[in-house]
Amino acid sequence: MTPSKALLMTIDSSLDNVSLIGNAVRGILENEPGPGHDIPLVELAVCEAVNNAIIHSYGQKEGFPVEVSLGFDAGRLTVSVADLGRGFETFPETLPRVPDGKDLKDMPIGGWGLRIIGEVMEDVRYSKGSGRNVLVMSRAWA
Amino acid sequence: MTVVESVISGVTVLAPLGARLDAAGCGEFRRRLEQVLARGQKLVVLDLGAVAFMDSTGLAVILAALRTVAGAGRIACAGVSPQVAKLFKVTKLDKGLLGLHATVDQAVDALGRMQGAR
Repeated sequence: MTPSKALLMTIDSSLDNVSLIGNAVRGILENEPGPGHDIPLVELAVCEAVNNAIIHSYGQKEGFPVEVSLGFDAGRLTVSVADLGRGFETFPETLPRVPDGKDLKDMPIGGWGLRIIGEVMEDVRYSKGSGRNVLVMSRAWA
Repeated sequence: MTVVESVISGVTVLAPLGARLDAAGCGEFRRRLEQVLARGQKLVVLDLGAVAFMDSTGLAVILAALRTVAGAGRIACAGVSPQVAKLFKVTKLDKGLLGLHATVDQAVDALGRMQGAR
């Protein structure tokens, strides 16, 4: 179901364009009722998802669309990031957790995007079909 | 992105002047930090006062640097923005692995004290 208040943004698959999405998300959230202190984290999570689409799905090739939709409904914020690239071969059923930060050996260099998304958003789902990959993330926002 | 390097009381200070340390724009910062560490500098302050936004790519650069100096040196950050502070918090990099200080002078003092204690 389409949220009652929603918008769709599309960028070309260049990492230089990710800031456009981040700035837009931040601007929108700053003008909607919700936990304002978490706006930087949601901006970060969305940028991580868009980075993933560009880097992993499109192999950092420009000229392909990345769609980001953002909607508010019944006290929840839902953001979806869609691409037409190769997508994740396998998407983890449970997102990797952030280590406790006490031992550097436990802190990986890579793989932080999904960890951050998992920390910031309450529900994360990934679907792949008909050449379209969609990551849908949602959390309370009221 | 311009990255300014200076030395204060024996501590190397690197200051990226771009507003975003992200997948699109942190290549020069990574290169300069790797250069500093390759020269054997083990006490490094990252002056993040100009950085309004950092993503996991910027985070990875810092983690790689921490691994490079592990056991032999220390890296600290100064002047982190609210967004960067939240990134460090959500990734638990604020739990002690990375020194976080309000100003460059405070970060330099803290690293200098560690050097003196060695």
